[in-house]
Amino acid sequence: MFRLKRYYGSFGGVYIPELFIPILEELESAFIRAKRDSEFLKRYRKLLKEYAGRPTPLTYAPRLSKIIGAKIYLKREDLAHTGAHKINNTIGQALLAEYMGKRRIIAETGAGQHGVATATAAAHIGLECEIFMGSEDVKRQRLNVLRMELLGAKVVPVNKGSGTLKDAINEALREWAENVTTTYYLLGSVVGPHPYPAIVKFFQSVIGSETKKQIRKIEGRDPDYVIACVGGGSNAMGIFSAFIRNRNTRLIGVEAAGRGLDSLHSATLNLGTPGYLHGTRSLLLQDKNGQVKKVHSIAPGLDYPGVGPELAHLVYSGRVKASSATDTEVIEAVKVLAESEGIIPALESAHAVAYLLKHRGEFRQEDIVVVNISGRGDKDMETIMEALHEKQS
Amino acid sequence: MKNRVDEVFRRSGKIFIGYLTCGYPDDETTLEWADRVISAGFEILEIGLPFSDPVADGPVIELASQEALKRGMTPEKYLEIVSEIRKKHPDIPLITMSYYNPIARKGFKYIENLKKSGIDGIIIPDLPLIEGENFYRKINSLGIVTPMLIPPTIKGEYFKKLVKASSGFIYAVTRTGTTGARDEIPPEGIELFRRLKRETNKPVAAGFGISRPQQLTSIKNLVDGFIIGSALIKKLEEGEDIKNWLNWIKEGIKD
Repeated sequence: MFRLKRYYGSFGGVYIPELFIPILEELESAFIRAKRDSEFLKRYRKLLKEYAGRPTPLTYAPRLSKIIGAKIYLKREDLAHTGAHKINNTIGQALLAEYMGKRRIIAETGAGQHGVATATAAAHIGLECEIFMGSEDVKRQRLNVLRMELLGAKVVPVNKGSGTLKDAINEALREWAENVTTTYYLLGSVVGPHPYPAIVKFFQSVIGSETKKQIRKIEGRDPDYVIACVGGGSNAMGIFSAFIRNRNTRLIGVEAAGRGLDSLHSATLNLGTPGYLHGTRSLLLQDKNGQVKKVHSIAPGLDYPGVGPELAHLVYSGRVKASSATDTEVIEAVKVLAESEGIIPALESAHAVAYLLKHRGEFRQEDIVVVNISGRGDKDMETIMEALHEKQS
Repeated sequence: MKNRVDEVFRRSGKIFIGYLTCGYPDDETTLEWADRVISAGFEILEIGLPFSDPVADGPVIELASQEALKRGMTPEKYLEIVSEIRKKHPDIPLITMSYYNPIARKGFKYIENLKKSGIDGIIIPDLPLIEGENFYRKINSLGIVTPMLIPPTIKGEYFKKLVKASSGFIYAVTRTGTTGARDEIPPEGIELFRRLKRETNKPVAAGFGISRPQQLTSIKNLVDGFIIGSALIKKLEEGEDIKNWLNWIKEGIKD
């Protein structure tokens, strides 16, 4: 039976067909062993440092600070190998798969960032790799598909439902069910059944622990605000984890308001109700009959109707504040960050920047604000170009 | 309190359980298909309440669920259709198959309404016993049976617990993976049926991937019934004579 706690408040659990229960137990017990195995941890840290390029810098943003009216620091996950924070988790879990003696990895991907990071880790460690990706996302993120293929992964387009992240997870789960004893499912966010939310948080918490060390060195204290975008919530849980106990640091999760909170969006923490999807009890965007709603975000990595159970709990308990930014606000944020600091953020990360712009003037000058730039925007150039073009015409 | 499912398994011979997705291809046809399935000789009817994300199901039932939802199937309409089937067929055991979210969203009142509409059993494929023990007990207290799905991967103490918590029958899953017709019953499936035989006297029905009598010869002496879903829907879609088909299967497993 499971040894770690499965719930965060009333959220979490293993709401998944029975056939997965023994596999999740096996995964949990391997995770407990690996966490305590100094050889495993040494190998993980070595790869983060020498392969993924960690620690990533914490960059002071002088011109953006002036615009916002506070001291803004950017945690530069965009500078990690493959261009996003996803690599922290995929290296960790690929090592865990190897630790468990599994030679084949499958994963879902939305924006393609997790898919690329998984394919990368699999290539480096020498594992077979298959990535499930919604057909709509395959279209939106062509370059990432090419990258995955170049890295030796097989990309399987999922032509079901809305053809986005949710459907890719459904299909990855089905494939996992089929080959459950030989295949490792490398889940990309702090979602899914226990122990995934705990595992992904563990491997992403490096973002928070680095940030804490860095900001204390520069400023001599913890930040007043930590802001991160939230889809499933892995970059947010990663950076929040180091500050949850410090009540003086406000934690803000920014979700996709898409075309508006009264229209199509994916603001689960803001507007979701408790429900069961992909193995977990969490907040969920659903209709009154318990059917999962169609969601939308200009950022494919946020295009998900659920959210991690621990984040749902942190929002319910008041520790994390949920906010949101629309597609239009996000495009504006990309422009502002590019022009003021010379950094083109991923559309996902730009949601966190948009929060700053929406709330400029509400901070005190001496406030220290850390924004997690979870990824870089190269993959989004076509979408950004189209959006800017639309705005002009 | 007598339950129709228990009654059926007291009969001799193999019990055949047919599955339909409610509202597929539309409401009227569901009613018509139910008549055909019952008159063909299926002894139990399992009716799926469609869900937007049916991860335990293969392509046939997934597509049927999507189609039914597109046509406006709701938990309320489901109750109406079940009631109509119940009115026409007072003796046939009816089992609800639903993912947990729609049921949880509607609350326990909905389970009571299922009972009132004539439902005898409930199967929730994504509510494992480890999370659903109390919920299943509450369902049982209404006189509704809850067959547990037991796949070949489950062993040890948890296996015993699942067997114990099963009522009506045990839904033994022939293989890992999702629903949908396959070729053979794999060795781990056969081993599961042997383990069940040793463990319990409760009726055991085999499900997932069943479509032809040739597959069943290896397990027919180990089980009391068979569940046919995807293959049945396919046959109905193709307009085949279900009665002939079922007789062919029944003949094929006779000694």
